[in-house]
Amino acid sequence: MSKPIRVLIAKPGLDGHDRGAKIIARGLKDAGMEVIYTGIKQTPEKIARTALQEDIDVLGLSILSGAHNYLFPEIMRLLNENKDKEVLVIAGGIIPLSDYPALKEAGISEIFPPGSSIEEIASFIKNNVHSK
Amino acid sequence: MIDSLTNGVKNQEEYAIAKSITVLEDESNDLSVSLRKEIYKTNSQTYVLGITGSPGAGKSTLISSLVNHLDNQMKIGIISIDPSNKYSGGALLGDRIRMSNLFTKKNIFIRSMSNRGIFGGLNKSIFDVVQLFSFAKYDLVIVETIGVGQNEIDISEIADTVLVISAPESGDSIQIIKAGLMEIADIYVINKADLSGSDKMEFLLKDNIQTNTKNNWTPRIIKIQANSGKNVDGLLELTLEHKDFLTQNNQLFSRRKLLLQKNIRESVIKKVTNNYIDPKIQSKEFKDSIKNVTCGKISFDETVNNLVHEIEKDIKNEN
Ligand SMILES: Nc1nc2c(ncn2[C@@H]2O[C@H](COP(=O)(O)OP(=O)(O)O)[C@@H](O)[C@H]2O)c(=O)[nH]1
Ligand SMILES: [Mg+2]
Repeated sequence: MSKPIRVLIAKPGLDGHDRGAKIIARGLKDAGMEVIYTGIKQTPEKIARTALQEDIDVLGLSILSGAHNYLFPEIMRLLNENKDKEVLVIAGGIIPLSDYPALKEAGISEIFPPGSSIEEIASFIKNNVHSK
Repeated sequence: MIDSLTNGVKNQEEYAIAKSITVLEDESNDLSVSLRKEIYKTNSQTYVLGITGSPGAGKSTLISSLVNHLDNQMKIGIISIDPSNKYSGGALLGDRIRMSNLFTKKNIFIRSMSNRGIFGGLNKSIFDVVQLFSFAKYDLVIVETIGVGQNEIDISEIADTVLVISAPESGDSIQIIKAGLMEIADIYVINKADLSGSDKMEFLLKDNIQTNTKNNWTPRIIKIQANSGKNVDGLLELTLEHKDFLTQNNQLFSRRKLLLQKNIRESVIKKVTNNYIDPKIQSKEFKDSIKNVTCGKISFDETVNNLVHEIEKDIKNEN
Protein backbone atom coordinates (compact mmCIF):
# COMPACT_ATOMS: atom_id res chain seq x y z
CA MET A 1 0.00 0.00 0.00
CA SER A 2 1.32 3.41 -0.86
CA LYS A 3 1.83 6.00 1.80
CA PRO A 4 -1.28 8.14 2.42
CA ILE A 5 -1.15 11.82 1.46
CA ARG A 6 -0.80 13.96 4.58
CA VAL A 7 -2.87 17.13 4.67
CA LEU A 8 -2.99 19.93 7.19
CA ILE A 9 -6.28 21.81 7.27
CA ALA A 10 -5.65 25.10 9.02
CA LYS A 11 -7.86 28.03 9.87
CA PRO A 12 -5.93 31.28 10.10
CA GLY A 13 -7.68 34.50 11.04
CA LEU A 14 -9.96 35.44 13.85
CA ASP A 15 -13.30 34.06 12.75
CA GLY A 16 -14.66 31.24 14.85
CA HIS A 17 -16.61 29.23 12.34
CA ASP A 18 -15.03 25.99 11.30
CA ARG A 19 -17.94 23.98 9.98
CA GLY A 20 -16.66 24.24 6.42
CA ALA A 21 -13.12 23.32 7.38
CA LYS A 22 -14.35 20.28 9.28
CA ILE A 23 -16.43 19.08 6.34
CA ILE A 24 -13.41 19.30 4.07
CA ALA A 25 -11.26 17.50 6.65
CA ARG A 26 -13.74 14.65 6.93
CA GLY A 27 -14.20 14.45 3.16
CA LEU A 28 -10.47 14.17 2.53
CA LYS A 29 -10.23 11.48 5.19
CA ASP A 30 -12.88 9.53 3.31
CA ALA A 31 -10.80 10.04 0.19
CA GLY A 32 -7.99 8.11 1.91
CA MET A 33 -5.84 10.97 3.20
CA GLU A 34 -4.40 11.54 6.65
CA VAL A 35 -5.86 14.87 7.67
CA ILE A 36 -4.50 16.89 10.55
CA TYR A 37 -6.97 19.40 11.87
CA THR A 38 -5.79 22.02 14.35
CA GLY A 39 -8.83 24.16 15.15
CA ILE A 40 -9.59 27.83 14.76
CA LYS A 41 -7.47 30.99 15.08
CA GLN A 42 -4.16 29.61 13.93
CA THR A 43 -1.37 32.14 13.56
CA PRO A 44 1.02 31.87 10.59
CA GLU A 45 3.75 30.77 13.03
CA LYS A 46 1.62 27.95 14.38
CA ILE A 47 0.66 26.80 10.90
CA ALA A 48 4.25 26.78 9.65
CA ARG A 49 5.58 24.93 12.70
CA THR A 50 2.82 22.34 12.48
CA ALA A 51 3.50 21.89 8.77
CA LEU A 52 7.16 21.25 9.54
CA GLN A 53 6.64 18.74 12.36
CA GLU A 54 3.86 16.85 10.65
CA ASP A 55 5.82 16.56 7.38
CA ILE A 56 2.72 17.37 5.37
CA ASP A 57 2.30 17.11 1.62
CA VAL A 58 -0.63 19.49 1.39
CA LEU A 59 -1.72 22.60 3.28
CA GLY A 60 -5.37 23.62 3.02
CA LEU A 61 -6.14 27.10 4.31
CA SER A 62 -9.69 28.02 5.17
CA ILE A 63 -10.63 31.60 5.87
CA LEU A 64 -13.78 33.64 6.24
CA SER A 65 -12.51 36.72 8.00
CA GLY A 66 -11.11 38.57 5.00
CA ALA A 67 -7.52 38.90 6.20
CA HIS A 68 -6.20 36.52 3.52
CA ASN A 69 -4.26 39.19 1.62
CA TYR A 70 -2.02 39.64 4.62
CA LEU A 71 -2.14 36.17 6.21
CA PHE A 72 -1.60 33.95 3.18
CA PRO A 73 1.64 35.55 1.93
CA GLU A 74 2.93 35.55 5.51
CA ILE A 75 2.14 31.84 5.84
CA MET A 76 3.85 31.18 2.50
CA ARG A 77 6.92 33.08 3.63
CA LEU A 78 7.24 31.05 6.84
CA LEU A 79 6.48 27.82 5.03
CA ASN A 80 9.31 28.47 2.60
CA GLU A 81 11.70 28.76 5.52
CA ASN A 82 10.98 25.11 6.32
CA LYS A 83 13.85 23.22 4.84
CA ASP A 84 13.73 20.43 2.32
CA LYS A 85 10.04 20.20 1.62
CA GLU A 86 7.68 21.21 -1.12
CA VAL A 87 4.12 21.60 0.06
CA LEU A 88 1.09 21.98 -2.17
CA VAL A 89 -0.95 24.88 -0.81
CA ILE A 90 -4.65 25.35 -1.55
CA ALA A 91 -7.22 27.69 -0.07
CA GLY A 92 -10.93 27.96 0.45
CA GLY A 93 -13.50 30.18 2.08
CA ILE A 94 -14.70 33.64 1.24
CA ILE A 95 -12.14 35.24 -1.04
CA PRO A 96 -13.08 37.83 -3.73
CA LEU A 97 -12.13 36.83 -7.28
CA SER A 98 -10.11 40.00 -7.63
CA ASP A 99 -7.71 38.75 -4.96
CA TYR A 100 -6.98 35.44 -6.70
CA PRO A 101 -4.09 36.57 -8.96
CA ALA A 102 -2.03 38.01 -6.14
CA LEU A 103 -2.59 34.99 -3.93
CA LYS A 104 -1.61 32.62 -6.73
CA GLU A 105 1.43 34.75 -7.31
CA ALA A 106 2.27 34.25 -3.63
CA GLY A 107 2.23 30.47 -4.10
CA ILE A 108 -1.32 29.34 -3.47
CA SER A 109 -1.88 26.70 -6.16
CA GLU A 110 -5.66 26.74 -6.26
CA ILE A 111 -8.55 28.50 -4.57
CA PHE A 112 -11.84 26.72 -4.01
CA PRO A 113 -14.87 28.99 -3.52
CA PRO A 114 -17.75 27.95 -1.24
CA GLY A 115 -19.79 25.20 -2.85
CA SER A 116 -16.77 23.38 -4.32
CA SER A 117 -17.18 19.64 -4.05
CA ILE A 118 -14.96 17.34 -2.03
CA GLU A 119 -14.36 15.23 -5.14
CA GLU A 120 -13.07 18.27 -6.97
CA ILE A 121 -10.70 19.17 -4.14
CA ALA A 122 -9.53 15.59 -3.58
CA SER A 123 -8.76 15.02 -7.23
CA PHE A 124 -6.93 18.34 -7.50
CA ILE A 125 -4.76 17.25 -4.58
CA LYS A 126 -4.08 13.80 -6.01
CA ASN A 127 -3.10 15.25 -9.38
CA ASN A 128 -0.91 18.01 -8.08
CA VAL A 129 0.76 16.78 -4.91
CA HIS A 130 4.54 16.85 -5.26
CA SER A 131 5.85 13.37 -5.57
CA LYS A 132 8.98 13.08 -3.50
CA MET B 1 21.03 11.10 2.12
CA ILE B 2 20.83 8.85 5.16
CA ASP B 3 23.82 10.58 6.74
CA SER B 4 22.34 14.03 6.41
CA LEU B 5 19.12 12.67 7.87
CA THR B 6 20.70 10.99 10.90
CA ASN B 7 22.99 13.93 11.51
CA GLY B 8 19.99 16.22 11.38
CA VAL B 9 18.18 14.05 13.91
CA LYS B 10 21.23 14.03 16.17
CA ASN B 11 21.24 17.82 16.05
CA GLN B 12 17.54 17.79 16.91
CA GLU B 13 16.66 19.53 13.68
CA GLU B 14 12.92 19.32 13.24
CA TYR B 15 12.81 18.83 9.49
CA ALA B 16 15.05 15.78 9.91
CA ILE B 17 12.99 14.32 12.73
CA ALA B 18 9.77 14.95 10.80
CA LYS B 19 11.12 13.37 7.64
CA SER B 20 12.51 10.39 9.57
CA ILE B 21 9.12 9.67 11.11
CA THR B 22 7.61 9.63 7.63
CA VAL B 23 10.29 7.19 6.52
CA LEU B 24 9.86 4.91 9.54
CA GLU B 25 6.10 4.86 9.11
CA ASP B 26 6.38 3.71 5.54
CA GLU B 27 7.84 0.21 5.44
CA SER B 28 8.10 0.28 1.67
CA ASN B 29 10.52 3.18 1.92
CA ASP B 30 14.04 1.93 1.20
CA LEU B 31 15.55 4.42 3.59
CA SER B 32 13.73 2.91 6.55
CA VAL B 33 16.12 -0.03 6.83
CA SER B 34 19.23 2.13 6.93
CA LEU B 35 17.58 4.60 9.26
CA ARG B 36 16.62 1.86 11.71
CA LYS B 37 20.18 0.62 11.59
CA GLU B 38 21.36 3.96 12.90
CA ILE B 39 18.73 4.82 15.49
CA TYR B 40 18.89 1.55 17.39
CA LYS B 41 22.57 2.14 18.08
CA THR B 42 21.95 4.10 21.22
CA ASN B 43 21.54 3.45 24.90
CA SER B 44 18.40 5.39 25.37
CA GLN B 45 17.76 7.51 28.43
CA THR B 46 14.46 8.84 27.20
CA TYR B 47 11.55 8.50 29.56
CA VAL B 48 8.36 7.34 27.86
CA LEU B 49 4.97 8.30 29.25
CA GLY B 50 1.91 6.57 27.81
CA ILE B 51 -1.56 8.06 28.04
CA THR B 52 -4.54 5.95 27.13
CA GLY B 53 -8.31 6.00 27.62
CA SER B 54 -11.47 6.23 25.59
CA PRO B 55 -12.07 9.03 23.08
CA GLY B 56 -13.17 12.23 24.78
CA ALA B 57 -11.75 11.31 28.21
CA GLY B 58 -9.37 14.26 27.98
CA LYS B 59 -6.02 12.76 26.94
CA SER B 60 -4.95 15.56 24.61
CA THR B 61 -6.12 18.24 27.03
CA LEU B 62 -4.12 16.58 29.79
CA ILE B 63 -0.95 16.45 27.68
CA SER B 64 -1.20 20.15 27.04
CA SER B 65 -1.70 20.90 30.71
CA LEU B 66 1.00 18.49 31.87
CA VAL B 67 3.59 19.91 29.51
CA ASN B 68 2.84 23.42 30.77
CA HIS B 69 3.91 22.23 34.22
CA LEU B 70 7.27 21.00 32.93
CA ASP B 71 10.54 22.83 32.58
CA ASN B 72 10.78 24.46 29.15
CA GLN B 73 14.39 23.36 28.85
CA MET B 74 13.23 19.77 28.56
CA LYS B 75 13.06 18.32 25.06
CA ILE B 76 9.65 16.72 24.70
CA GLY B 77 8.24 14.64 21.86
CA ILE B 78 4.48 14.11 21.70
CA ILE B 79 3.01 11.36 19.55
CA SER B 80 -0.77 11.34 19.24
CA ILE B 81 -2.38 8.38 17.59
CA ASP B 82 -5.86 8.23 16.11
CA PRO B 83 -7.56 5.35 14.34
CA SER B 84 -7.62 5.14 10.58
CA ASN B 85 -10.75 4.55 8.57
CA LYS B 86 -11.01 0.88 7.73
CA TYR B 87 -12.40 1.45 4.27
CA SER B 88 -10.58 4.49 2.91
CA GLY B 89 -7.32 4.10 4.84
CA GLY B 90 -7.56 7.80 5.65
CA ALA B 91 -7.66 9.30 9.11
CA LEU B 92 -8.77 12.44 10.86
CA LEU B 93 -6.04 13.46 13.28
CA GLY B 94 -7.56 16.01 15.63
CA ASP B 95 -5.54 15.79 18.82
CA ARG B 96 -3.69 19.00 18.11
CA ILE B 97 -6.87 21.02 18.63
CA ARG B 98 -6.36 20.74 22.41
CA MET B 99 -2.64 21.46 22.26
CA SER B 100 -2.65 24.70 20.32
CA ASN B 101 -0.80 26.54 23.08
CA LEU B 102 2.20 24.22 22.58
CA PHE B 103 2.63 24.76 18.83
CA THR B 104 5.26 27.45 19.01
CA LYS B 105 7.18 26.20 22.04
CA LYS B 106 10.75 25.56 20.97
CA ASN B 107 11.25 22.46 23.10
CA ILE B 108 8.14 20.62 21.94
CA PHE B 109 7.76 18.39 18.90
CA ILE B 110 4.24 17.11 18.16
CA ARG B 111 3.43 14.44 15.64
CA SER B 112 -0.03 13.10 14.81
CA MET B 113 -0.08 9.54 13.60
CA SER B 114 -2.72 7.20 12.29
CA ASN B 115 -2.63 3.60 13.41
CA ARG B 116 -2.73 2.73 9.72
CA GLY B 117 -5.22 -0.07 10.00
CA ILE B 118 -3.90 -1.78 13.09
CA PHE B 119 -6.48 -2.34 15.80
CA GLY B 120 -5.56 -1.84 19.40
CA GLY B 121 -4.29 1.65 19.12
CA LEU B 122 -0.65 1.25 18.17
CA ASN B 123 1.19 0.30 15.06
CA LYS B 124 4.61 -1.23 15.03
CA SER B 125 6.37 1.84 13.73
CA ILE B 126 5.63 3.54 17.07
CA PHE B 127 8.52 1.50 18.48
CA ASP B 128 10.74 3.04 15.85
CA VAL B 129 9.46 6.56 16.38
CA VAL B 130 10.02 6.34 20.14
CA GLN B 131 13.49 5.03 19.38
CA LEU B 132 14.05 7.96 17.02
CA PHE B 133 13.35 10.44 19.82
CA SER B 134 15.74 8.52 22.08
CA PHE B 135 18.37 8.67 19.39
CA ALA B 136 17.79 12.43 19.19
CA LYS B 137 18.33 12.56 22.96
CA TYR B 138 14.91 13.88 23.80
CA ASP B 139 14.21 13.83 27.53
CA LEU B 140 10.61 12.75 27.38
CA VAL B 141 8.27 11.14 24.89
CA ILE B 142 4.52 11.21 25.51
CA VAL B 143 2.38 8.76 23.55
CA GLU B 144 -1.38 9.32 23.37
CA THR B 145 -3.49 6.46 22.14
CA ILE B 146 -7.04 5.19 22.21
CA GLY B 147 -7.61 2.46 24.75
CA VAL B 148 -9.20 -0.38 22.85
CA GLY B 149 -8.17 -3.73 21.51
CA GLN B 150 -6.08 -6.38 23.13
CA ASN B 151 -4.09 -8.50 20.78
CA GLU B 152 -2.04 -5.80 19.21
CA ILE B 153 0.86 -4.00 20.75
CA ASP B 154 -0.45 -1.84 23.52
CA ILE B 155 0.85 1.18 25.24
CA SER B 156 2.11 -0.70 28.29
CA GLU B 157 4.69 -2.40 26.12
CA ILE B 158 6.18 0.88 25.08
CA ALA B 159 5.78 3.26 27.98
CA ASP B 160 7.72 3.37 31.24
CA THR B 161 4.70 4.82 32.96
CA VAL B 162 1.12 4.35 31.81
CA LEU B 163 -1.67 6.74 32.68
CA VAL B 164 -5.15 5.40 32.10
CA ILE B 165 -7.61 8.24 31.96
CA SER B 166 -11.38 8.21 32.10
CA ALA B 167 -14.18 10.65 32.74
CA PRO B 168 -17.43 10.21 34.65
CA GLU B 169 -19.66 11.43 31.82
CA SER B 170 -18.77 8.52 29.59
CA GLY B 171 -19.69 6.15 32.44
CA ASP B 172 -16.89 3.95 31.28
CA SER B 173 -15.30 2.81 34.52
CA ILE B 174 -16.92 -0.62 34.31
CA GLN B 175 -15.85 -0.78 30.71
CA ILE B 176 -12.30 0.00 31.69
CA ILE B 177 -12.22 -2.71 34.32
CA LYS B 178 -13.62 -5.19 31.82
CA ALA B 179 -11.27 -4.20 29.04
CA GLY B 180 -8.28 -4.92 31.22
CA LEU B 181 -7.10 -1.32 31.16
CA MET B 182 -6.90 -1.43 34.97
CA GLU B 183 -4.09 -3.93 34.74
CA ILE B 184 -1.91 -1.71 32.61
CA ALA B 185 -2.42 1.48 34.63
CA ASP B 186 0.45 2.69 36.76
CA ILE B 187 -1.62 5.71 37.58
CA TYR B 188 -5.34 5.86 37.22
CA VAL B 189 -6.55 9.33 36.27
CA ILE B 190 -10.15 10.37 36.79
CA ASN B 191 -10.60 13.46 34.67
CA LYS B 192 -13.40 16.04 34.69
CA ALA B 193 -13.59 16.15 38.47
CA ASP B 194 -15.93 19.10 37.94
CA LEU B 195 -18.61 16.74 36.66
CA SER B 196 -20.85 14.74 38.94
CA GLY B 197 -20.10 11.06 39.20
CA SER B 198 -16.37 11.39 39.68
CA ASP B 199 -16.58 10.42 43.35
CA LYS B 200 -18.56 7.34 42.55
CA MET B 201 -16.03 6.46 39.92
CA GLU B 202 -13.22 6.84 42.43
CA PHE B 203 -14.87 4.41 44.86
CA LEU B 204 -15.43 1.85 42.16
CA LEU B 205 -11.87 2.03 40.94
CA LYS B 206 -10.40 1.94 44.45
CA ASP B 207 -12.21 -1.32 45.00
CA ASN B 208 -10.60 -2.79 41.94
CA ILE B 209 -7.04 -1.60 42.31
CA GLN B 210 -4.52 -4.37 42.70
CA THR B 211 -0.81 -4.38 43.30
CA ASN B 212 0.98 -5.34 40.16
CA THR B 213 2.56 -8.69 40.96
CA LYS B 214 5.20 -8.25 38.30
CA ASN B 215 6.84 -5.21 39.80
CA ASN B 216 5.23 -4.57 43.21
CA TRP B 217 3.88 -1.19 42.28
CA THR B 218 0.46 -0.32 43.62
CA PRO B 219 -1.36 1.82 41.06
CA ARG B 220 -2.41 5.24 42.28
CA ILE B 221 -5.71 6.95 41.68
CA ILE B 222 -6.02 10.68 41.21
CA LYS B 223 -8.84 13.05 40.33
CA ILE B 224 -7.99 15.98 38.12
CA GLN B 225 -9.44 18.61 35.86
CA ALA B 226 -7.37 18.64 32.71
CA ASN B 227 -8.93 21.72 31.14
CA SER B 228 -8.39 24.02 34.13
CA GLY B 229 -5.18 22.31 35.21
CA LYS B 230 -6.57 21.51 38.65
CA ASN B 231 -4.48 18.88 40.45
CA VAL B 232 -2.33 18.29 37.39
CA ASP B 233 0.70 19.14 39.54
CA GLY B 234 -0.38 16.33 41.86
CA LEU B 235 -0.48 13.98 38.90
CA LEU B 236 2.96 15.09 37.84
CA GLU B 237 4.26 14.25 41.31
CA LEU B 238 2.79 10.75 41.16
CA THR B 239 4.32 10.26 37.74
CA LEU B 240 7.75 11.22 38.99
CA GLU B 241 7.25 8.94 41.97
CA HIS B 242 6.62 6.05 39.59
CA LYS B 243 9.64 6.99 37.55
CA ASP B 244 11.81 6.99 40.69
CA PHE B 245 10.35 3.64 41.64
CA LEU B 246 11.38 2.21 38.28
CA THR B 247 14.83 3.69 38.49
CA GLN B 248 15.41 2.36 42.00
CA ASN B 249 14.34 -1.10 40.92
CA ASN B 250 16.45 -0.99 37.78
CA GLN B 251 13.33 -1.36 35.73
CA LEU B 252 13.82 1.58 33.44
CA PHE B 253 16.72 -0.30 31.91
CA SER B 254 15.23 -3.79 31.91
CA ARG B 255 12.09 -2.51 30.21
CA ARG B 256 14.20 -1.16 27.39
CA LYS B 257 15.64 -4.58 26.66
CA LEU B 258 12.25 -6.18 26.82
CA LEU B 259 11.00 -3.56 24.44
CA LEU B 260 13.68 -4.31 21.90
CA GLN B 261 12.95 -8.01 22.22
CA LYS B 262 9.25 -7.38 21.59
CA ASN B 263 9.93 -5.09 18.70
CA ILE B 264 12.11 -7.70 17.02
CA ARG B 265 9.43 -10.30 17.64
CA GLU B 266 6.77 -8.11 16.03
CA SER B 267 8.96 -7.52 13.02
CA VAL B 268 9.69 -11.21 12.57
CA ILE B 269 5.99 -12.07 12.77
CA LYS B 270 5.17 -9.41 10.23
CA LYS B 271 7.83 -10.60 7.77
CA VAL B 272 6.95 -14.26 8.07
CA THR B 273 3.26 -13.48 7.72
CA ASN B 274 3.71 -11.30 4.65
CA ASN B 275 6.28 -13.45 2.89
CA TYR B 276 5.18 -16.97 3.72
CA ILE B 277 1.90 -17.36 5.55
CA ASP B 278 -0.38 -14.99 3.70
CA PRO B 279 0.62 -16.07 0.18
CA LYS B 280 -0.28 -19.65 1.18
CA ILE B 281 -3.51 -18.80 2.96
CA GLN B 282 -4.67 -16.52 0.15
CA SER B 283 -3.81 -19.00 -2.60
CA LYS B 284 -6.60 -20.53 -4.63
CA GLU B 285 -5.40 -24.07 -3.88
CA PHE B 286 -5.64 -23.49 -0.17
CA LYS B 287 -9.04 -21.86 -0.40
CA ASP B 288 -10.26 -24.79 -2.47
CA SER B 289 -8.89 -27.28 0.03
CA ILE B 290 -10.84 -25.81 2.92
CA LYS B 291 -13.93 -27.73 1.92
CA ASN B 292 -12.00 -30.91 2.72
CA VAL B 293 -12.15 -29.87 6.35
CA THR B 294 -15.90 -29.43 6.37
CA CYS B 295 -16.57 -32.68 4.57
CA GLY B 296 -14.29 -34.57 6.91
CA LYS B 297 -11.53 -35.59 4.47
CA ILE B 298 -8.89 -33.94 6.58
CA SER B 299 -8.98 -32.63 10.13
CA PHE B 300 -8.50 -29.06 11.20
CA ASP B 301 -5.25 -29.84 12.99
CA GLU B 302 -3.87 -31.78 10.06
CA THR B 303 -4.55 -28.83 7.82
CA VAL B 304 -2.68 -26.55 10.19
CA ASN B 305 0.27 -28.92 10.49
CA ASN B 306 0.49 -29.40 6.73
CA LEU B 307 0.61 -25.69 6.25
CA VAL B 308 3.34 -25.30 8.85
CA HIS B 309 5.39 -28.00 7.11
CA GLU B 310 5.01 -26.33 3.76
CA ILE B 311 6.06 -23.00 5.18
CA GLU B 312 9.09 -24.59 6.85
CA LYS B 313 10.06 -26.07 3.49
CA ASP B 314 9.65 -22.74 1.74
CA ILE B 315 11.90 -21.06 4.23
CA LYS B 316 14.55 -23.82 3.99
CA ASN B 317 14.52 -23.76 0.22
CA GLU B 318 15.22 -20.10 0.21
CA ASN B 319 18.54 -20.58 1.98
N1 LIG C 1 -15.77 19.42 32.03
C1 LIG C 1 -14.52 19.10 31.68
N2 LIG C 1 -14.23 18.90 30.37
C2 LIG C 1 -12.95 18.58 30.05
C3 LIG C 1 -11.94 18.43 31.02
N3 LIG C 1 -10.80 18.08 30.39
C4 LIG C 1 -11.10 18.02 29.07
N4 LIG C 1 -12.38 18.32 28.85
C5 LIG C 1 -13.09 18.34 27.55
O1 LIG C 1 -13.28 17.03 27.05
C6 LIG C 1 -13.30 17.02 25.65
C7 LIG C 1 -12.37 15.96 25.09
O2 LIG C 1 -11.05 16.29 25.38
P1 LIG C 1 -9.81 15.68 24.58
O3 LIG C 1 -8.58 16.14 25.28
O4 LIG C 1 -9.92 15.99 23.16
O5 LIG C 1 -10.05 14.11 24.81
P2 LIG C 1 -9.26 12.85 24.16
O6 LIG C 1 -10.10 12.35 23.05
O7 LIG C 1 -9.15 11.85 25.28
O8 LIG C 1 -7.91 13.33 23.72
C8 LIG C 1 -12.92 18.43 25.20
O9 LIG C 1 -14.08 19.13 24.85
C9 LIG C 1 -12.28 19.02 26.44
O10 LIG C 1 -12.41 20.42 26.51
C10 LIG C 1 -12.29 18.66 32.40
O11 LIG C 1 -11.47 18.57 33.33
N5 LIG C 1 -13.60 18.98 32.67
MG1 LIG D 1 -7.02 13.21 21.81
